[in-house]
Amino acid sequence: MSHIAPNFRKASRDAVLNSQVIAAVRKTANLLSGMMALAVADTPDFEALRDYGRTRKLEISGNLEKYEQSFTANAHAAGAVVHRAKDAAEAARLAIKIAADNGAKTAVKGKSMTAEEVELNEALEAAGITVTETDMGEFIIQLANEKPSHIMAPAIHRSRAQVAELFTDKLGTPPDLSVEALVAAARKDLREKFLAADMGITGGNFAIADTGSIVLVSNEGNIRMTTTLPRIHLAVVGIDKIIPEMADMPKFLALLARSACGQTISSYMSIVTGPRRTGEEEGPEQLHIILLDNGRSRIAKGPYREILHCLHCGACLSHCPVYRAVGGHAYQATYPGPMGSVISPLISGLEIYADLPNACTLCGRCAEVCPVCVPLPDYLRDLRSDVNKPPFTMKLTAFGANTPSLYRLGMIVMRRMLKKGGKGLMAPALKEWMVCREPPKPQEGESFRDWWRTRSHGK
Amino acid sequence: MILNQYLAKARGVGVNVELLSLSDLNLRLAALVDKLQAKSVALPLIGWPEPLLRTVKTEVEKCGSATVSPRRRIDGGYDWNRSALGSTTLGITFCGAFIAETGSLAFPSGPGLGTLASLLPETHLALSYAKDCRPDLGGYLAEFGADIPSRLTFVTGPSRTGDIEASMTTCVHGPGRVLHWIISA
Repeated sequence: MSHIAPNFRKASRDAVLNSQVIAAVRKTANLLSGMMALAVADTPDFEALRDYGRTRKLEISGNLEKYEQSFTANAHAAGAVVHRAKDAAEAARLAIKIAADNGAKTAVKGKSMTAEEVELNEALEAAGITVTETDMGEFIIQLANEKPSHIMAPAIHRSRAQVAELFTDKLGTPPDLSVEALVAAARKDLREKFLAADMGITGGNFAIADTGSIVLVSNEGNIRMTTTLPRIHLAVVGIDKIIPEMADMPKFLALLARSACGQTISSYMSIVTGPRRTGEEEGPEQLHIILLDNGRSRIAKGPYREILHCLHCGACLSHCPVYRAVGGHAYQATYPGPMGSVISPLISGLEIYADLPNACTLCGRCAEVCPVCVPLPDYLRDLRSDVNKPPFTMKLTAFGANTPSLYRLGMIVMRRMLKKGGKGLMAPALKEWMVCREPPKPQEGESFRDWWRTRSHGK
Repeated sequence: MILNQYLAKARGVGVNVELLSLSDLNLRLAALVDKLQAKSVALPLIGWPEPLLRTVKTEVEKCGSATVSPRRRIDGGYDWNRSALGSTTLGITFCGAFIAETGSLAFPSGPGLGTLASLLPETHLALSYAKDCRPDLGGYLAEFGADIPSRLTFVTGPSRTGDIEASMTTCVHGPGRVLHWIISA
């Protein structure tokens, strides 16, 4: 979303006022985090699994190039065409070329944040290819012409009633349908599109280097349709999704499924290794894999390398007090929440997303729930100091706090000011802070220092 | 015992799993086809133990239902008739491996081993032998070694979504009902 200048301060201020969105986000986030807690409690060795995840991912991100080469060679050997895109624009160009070379006019798409990152839908639509989102949440937001607001539950910001209204408007369904009826309406609408589409587009949850396989999980079955019915399958996969061996996959899957929505495994898992083989009655004739770099190999060499370990489970979003207060759209980035506040500035530039590292209370919940222990709060703090050196007022404050006489004077002034309700010299500096807060009232009567002086010690 | 672990896990994810003896199969099939009023049944052909496939095909057809199967092409491969497949309400597949750890049914691809029969109809019935239960996913994947099929599909319960207010709803794109009959004899 580089064409708009993101302004988190403004967007988040607007968002907190939209009580409908916040109520919907909070309701779903609570359910998701509750389901994760149950699944984790039910897994006695979960901490050991997390340790494994972190250690293994450190090894992977330290040898990204090696594993990428190995994946490319093995996927090629299995019959896939592997492309490499150094940035989003190149990925979009490649996708358009693949569609054009094969005369593809319609595509069905499984949920993919990587495709969102390269704005694939917009690029394909501009090239005359109709793309239909088939994940229930993505289908909803495509109808509403919105962006996903959660990496795992993209329509988290919409209530059932709003979805029902949208379906009535766009699909002509009767008003105020139940969740079951809404799902049935989507099933009917999308089934025909699955059967007719020329191309299926997905992301990839894991790419396995030693077999050249793409692993895709979903609960709905749309990914199975997308990877089975159309004659071309295009998978857009970030190079951070590569894991060394098939034997690693069950463990990462266990971490992902529990953290994403409290499952042991998703309803469906497809391990795709090359296109349809001789004699098989199903599967695409061609499998194209676009491996997307878009800054990842640069990040792997820098101080924020562990953000590439992220499994995109969304747990840090659902647990984040800031995300829960403002929702995903306020971040104005493909990836919102704690992981997004780290990865978005790293991919698109700190000057574009300078606000995001500040969209954090440093409470540490994200790091506690992260299935691969990405040190998100540390990264957010470090990114803040990358954004700018401390401003002059903060330097002055630091000097004052380090000089006892000045500090004492400051406290006297502060008490006077607070008695008047925070109006005075400091008011301009505290303006933003006071937008949604009342300044604290100073204690009635004498100050601690006065008290101390008049009692035992002062004399 | 791993079979008990499978039963608990599969029931936990919403699979309607039952143990039955081979002699009960015909009666149960007839009852199911009748209950679903299934006019046509998707039945992929290969990978079944021959006697089991014959039993199922014969019984389904005896109930007056048509079976839809992949057609053999001149080149030796197979093709589904998609519109015929699309009108089936029940898909019956043989499942040669199911996994206790996760409660999953495993379907490796191969000629005649398509998975659309377990995806398009609203009800999916998988038939297995008790001996084919595997303890865990990792062990099952290791059985393939370097020889991974083009598709390895794992089915764990019905098709579902939580995308509207995280309220779990079944039958999104795939089957809303998954039955697993494990033949113990």
